[in-house]
Order: sequence, then structure tokens, then C-alpha cells
Amino acid sequence: MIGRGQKALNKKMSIEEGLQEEESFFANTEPWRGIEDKNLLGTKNLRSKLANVLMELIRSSFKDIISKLKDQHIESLTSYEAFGEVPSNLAEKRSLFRSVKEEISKQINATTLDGRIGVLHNDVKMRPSAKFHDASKNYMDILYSSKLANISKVTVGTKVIAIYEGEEIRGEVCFIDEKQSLVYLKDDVEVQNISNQDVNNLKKNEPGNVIQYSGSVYIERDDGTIDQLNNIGLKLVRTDPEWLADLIKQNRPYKLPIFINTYVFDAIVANLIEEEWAQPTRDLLNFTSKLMDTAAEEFIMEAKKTTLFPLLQSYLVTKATDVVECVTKETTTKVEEFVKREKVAYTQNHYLFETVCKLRSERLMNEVLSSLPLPTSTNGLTSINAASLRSTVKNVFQRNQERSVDDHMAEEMQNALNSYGKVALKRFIDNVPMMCIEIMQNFADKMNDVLSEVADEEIERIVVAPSNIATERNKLKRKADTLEKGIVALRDLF
Amino acid sequence: MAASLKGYERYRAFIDSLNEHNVDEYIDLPQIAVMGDTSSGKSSLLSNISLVELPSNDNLTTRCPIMLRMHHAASKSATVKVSWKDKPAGDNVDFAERSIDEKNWDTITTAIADAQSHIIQKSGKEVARDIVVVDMKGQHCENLTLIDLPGIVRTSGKEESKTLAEDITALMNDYLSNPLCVILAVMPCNVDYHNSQILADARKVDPETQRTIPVLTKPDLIDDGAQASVKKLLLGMQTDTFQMGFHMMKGMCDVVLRYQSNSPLIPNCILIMCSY
Repeated sequence: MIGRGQKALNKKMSIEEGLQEEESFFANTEPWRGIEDKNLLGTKNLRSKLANVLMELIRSSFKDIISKLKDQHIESLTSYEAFGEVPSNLAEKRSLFRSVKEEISKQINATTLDGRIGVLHNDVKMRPSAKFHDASKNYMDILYSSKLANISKVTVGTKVIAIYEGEEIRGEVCFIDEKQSLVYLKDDVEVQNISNQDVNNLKKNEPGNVIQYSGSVYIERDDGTIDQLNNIGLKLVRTDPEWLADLIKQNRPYKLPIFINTYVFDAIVANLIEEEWAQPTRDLLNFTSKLMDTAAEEFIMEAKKTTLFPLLQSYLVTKATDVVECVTKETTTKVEEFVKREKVAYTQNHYLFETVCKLRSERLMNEVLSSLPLPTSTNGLTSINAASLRSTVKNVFQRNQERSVDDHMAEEMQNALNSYGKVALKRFIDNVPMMCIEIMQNFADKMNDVLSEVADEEIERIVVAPSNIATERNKLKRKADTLEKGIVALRDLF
Repeated sequence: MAASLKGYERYRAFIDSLNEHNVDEYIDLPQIAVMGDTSSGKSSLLSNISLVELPSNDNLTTRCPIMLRMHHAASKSATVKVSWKDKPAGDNVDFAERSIDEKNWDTITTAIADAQSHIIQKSGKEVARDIVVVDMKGQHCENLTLIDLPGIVRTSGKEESKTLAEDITALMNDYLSNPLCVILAVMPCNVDYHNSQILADARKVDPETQRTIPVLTKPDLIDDGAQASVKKLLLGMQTDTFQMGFHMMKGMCDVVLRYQSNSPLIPNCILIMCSY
């Protein structure tokens, strides 16, 4: 049996002796002795075989290793740097918070208002300022098509008063031929129950359906018959202010009834503004508020400096929502004050007075002009019987005189509303978007104020990277540092 | 660093430097790893190649890799140090580098053993990825770097954790999976190579056998009559061949062991103690 000491002694003596013993073993012992390829046998041969193997291996893989080293070094460094800074103490956290705050207050206008940003937005992701512009345009369209903006506008369905063959007739417009400037009234029939087969073929069996055929206009009746309608020149048709006459009548004060009733006028303006314009105004305000809220959230979430800190992100988003709410509240107050002010009609705009004056004489002028004969020759001359001319003009004026005071009052009120409506409309579509955009204009400053007041304890709590991100970042740092050492070794040796 | 190095030595110094800085964690580096069962004759092989007795006697296995970096030189000298892969936190973790010259050459074994136990102690692990690096110069040295990996453990002893075998397998897989690692698969001649664990492991990662060199040890222990088939295997005449060929070597203790094993009075435990 061989003890420990004995064994150690054995080995100490025998490593080199062992090699000799090995050599003689392979030289003298069968079947190894007979092997021709001596390279397969013994330690010495193994040594040089392995040295050659390693040399070949190193030589053949060298280029590849260097390119991997360089590539991975740059790659890990880039990924590491993409993570940004991770602050470890309060001072660093405060500094990061401050720089995020500054980025928000300085840069957010670039994305929401100015367009000072290097990225071109597209349909899918329109710039917030562009979305606001579209919303304002839409707001303008809504107001333009409201009743207050179209008091005297003749459209299909409007109740009108028309002058036809020297007589006033009332009716409802069922068709307007814009090209010929002709208007057709539903019950102003030229030929009743026509039997033209071609026209009949165009029937839809819908009472009130208007058919145009060969320069004439027809209408389907309840009983299935078709009437041909008269045409009236557009200039001889005006909106019937009957609804105004009714309002004047119902609200008549104990005053001399020959003056326009300003109380009724004011009330109509106030009602129409509240009914038609107030809601779209509030809608634009809320839209802008939401737009700012979304834009702020997107800005915060996309800000490079915040990506590592989900707590900070959600904190900033919450604060942004608070700020948007706050600036919206301020703007809402302004907008509501504006609407309230607008409900009391007043202006010094000369446009109002010019329009009113024009409208006062326009109708009568149109009636006189259209009752006069048209020039028949190319040089514009035509022979007129003076007596007949005088009688025609007189008839027009006489017809005007014969209208009731109430009719005149209603017409005057309509002219006033028509003129004032346009002035008020202009003020709304200018001022409301300008007030709403203040939400976006004031956000940055207000956000800056709010974030300046955040306490250290809060900063300490929210500027924290989740552990997995910190780990990932440390790993990259280690890799970059390790590979850096490899690069240095390469530089030193080659 | 030694910019004066020329040709291949410069390449090798560069790879050594990459290894030392743990670049191998991210980029596969060329290397030769020595693997085998605890009783395969692996230690003998390394001792024979390096002329250094590796401290395997007391523990049966090494529990962390030893990198032997050999350089041909006129005079004999060596240094032993620790290259950390998973450096533990705390003070006093570093291992003071040991320098050995021709006069105290014998202390190299103790130095390596100290470095090993330093790693095991500081890391608190039974199996560590951290490496004992032995730089060795001498006339006997070829320009060669070998990595000695802990022997494959099949059954854990009482004092060893149940995960010991798994930990060693994981460590070996780090090397096996590196496509630039040549696997020196050590196994005794007297064991049917079909049953060799290390060859099975090597085949999994190197099915084309392009980077595996099987080394047959203990040729003196082959049963009489079986030599012919081992010879065929060595010459690559068996059905299972390896691109880089087989090799055969004989450790110094084989004869001693043979004498011991022939005696029916010697209990098994003594045979284990006499392992290399």
C-alpha cells in the first residue's frame, strides 16, 4: 500500500522519469511498438500536436475575433448610451428632473404650436396645431351654416315672398335654378296635372319630388299627378319674415307701434347665439383641451430623458392633465364671458350700417328694375311709352305703401338681424379659436410653474429606474468596458 | 504590453489578454479544454505535458478551471494568479500573485492549490467559473495554452451538494458550446469508449467531430487480448472516427496502480486515493 507521503515522493521523482518510462513503453511494448505513425503516441507528440492545433485555431479565427470585438464594442456602447443617465443620489435626480422640466417647457411648443421640429408629420399623426386648425375651420363652417348667419338667405324649404306679375305671393321654395337665377315655389303652378309622357317617366312616386325636364320644372303631388311650376326671378324673391312679425306681435309693448322693437331684436340675437353658436364654441374649447392633454402625454412619453423612469412618466402625465385642466378652466371662463357679452348685441362696425342702408332700398330697387322693360336692341335702346313707365313705377311704390306697418317692421327687423348676424359671426370665428388656442399657448409656462414647485421628497420617490432596467444597463456597461479592454489590448499589440 | 512580440506569439498574447479581461464572456475565443472523468488519467496527462504536478490528489477533482499557459523559454519560471469571472464583492478578495522560479519549482503545486481554495472559499461555491491562471516558462514548454476543467462527477459524496454534478456540467457546457474550443477528451483504454461520457458530450456539440481529440490513457491496463481493438481505434480503423484523430499516452502511475489493483487484499478505497 502506498501512503500519502510515499505517493508524493513517488510522483516528485517520477514526472520526468515517467515521461522516459512512457517513451520506452511505447517503444518496447506490443502492439504499440509496431505502430508506424509515432505521432499518435506519447506526451511529447501530444504537446507539439496541440501547440500546432492551437496556433492554427488562433490564426484562422483572428480576423473574425477582431471584427466581432470592434462591432460588439460599438454596439454595446451605443445601446448603453441609449439608456441615458441613471441618477443615483438626490442631487442627480434633481438635476434630471430639472432638465426634463426644461425640455417640456421649451420644446413642447415646438410640437404643439410652432412646428419647429425636424419631423414631418403625416395623415396618421397630424401635428396638434394642424388638428387645431382643422377643428377651427370646422367650427367656422358650423357657424356659417347657422340661421343667424343666414337670416335672409333663400334656400330650398325657405318660406318666401315673391313678386309675380305685379302681385306679392307667399310660398315655400321647392327648387332653385342657380344658373338661370330662377326660383320655383311649391304651390305656384303654371300648368296643373300635365300629361307629358316623358315627364311621367321621370316620376319617383314621391309627393314633393321635383322633376327637371327640357327647361321646365315639375312637382309630384300627393294624388300622383304632376304640375308644372312657374319660375320667378331670384331677385324678386325674399325670405318671408313672418316668424319675426309673429314675434313682434306677441311681444308688443305699450309703445307707439311704428318703431322697431329693440327688446325683441336683442332677445332673438341672444337666443340664436345660445341655441346655435354656444355649443360649437364649447365643443372647440373641449377639443382643444383634449388635444393639448394628448399632445402633452405623447411628448412626455416620447421624451428620451424619461424613458427609463415609468414613475416619473406617469407623474408628469398626471401633472400635465392637471395643468391642462387648469388652463382649460381659465379659458372656459374667458370664453363663457365672451359668449355672454355677445348675447347683448352691440357694434360700431361700419359694415352693419352700410348693409342695413343697402338692404333697406335694395328690395324696392329690384322690384322697380324688374318691372321695367328690358333693352331689345343691341345698342341698348328701346322705345318706351312714358305714361306706361310712370304707371309701372307708381304701381311698385303703391304696392309697397299698401303693406302693413307690421310687414314693414318685420322686414326692417330682418334686415337688422341679417346685417348684425354677419358682424357677430365674424367676431365669433375670429375670437373663439384665438381664445381656445391659449390652452396650448399657456400650457408650457404653467407646467413649468407647477414642476418648479415639486418637493425633493417627491423627486426622490419618482425619479427611479425599475431594477430590471438598471440591471440591463449595468450589463451593457460591463460588456462595453470589457470589450474596451480588448480594444486597448489590440491597440497595444498591433 | 509586449509590442516587441512577433508573429504567432503576438496573436497568442492578444488572445491571452482577451481571456484575462473576460472578453470570452461575449466573444468566442480559440482554446483547448481538457475534459474527462475524475479517474480518466486527465491529471496525469496535464502533469506530463506541463511537468507540474497539479493538486488533484487531495480533492479528487479540481472545482475550478486551471489555465496552463506555457511558453518556450531558456529558463524555468512561473506565476500563479486568479482570473475572476464572477468576482465576489467585498474586501480581501484578490489573490496575491505567486512567482515561482527554478529553485522553488516544487512549490508551484501548493501555489495552484492555494489559488484554487482561495477561489472556492471567496466565491462560496463548490464549482466556480473563476480560473487559476498558471503562466509557465521553460525549455520543456511548447507554446501552448490548455484549460483543465473539473472532472465529470457521476455521484456526489456526502459532503458535496446534490447540485455538484449539475454545476460541473454547466461549467463544461460553457466550454463545449464554444465553437472555437478544441475538446481534448481524456478516457482510459480499459473502458469501452462507447460508454465515455465526455465523448458523448463532445458529439452533441461537435457532431462532425471537427474539434474533438480523444486521448486514450492507461494503455498498460488493457485486458490481455483487447489490445488489438484499441489499436484499431487509435489508428482510426474503427467505424467511429474523429477528424483530428485519436492520441494515446501513458501516465507515470499506471504501472503502480496496476500492481496495486492486482492484489486482492487491497480494498477499493485505496485505489481511489491513488488516482491522478
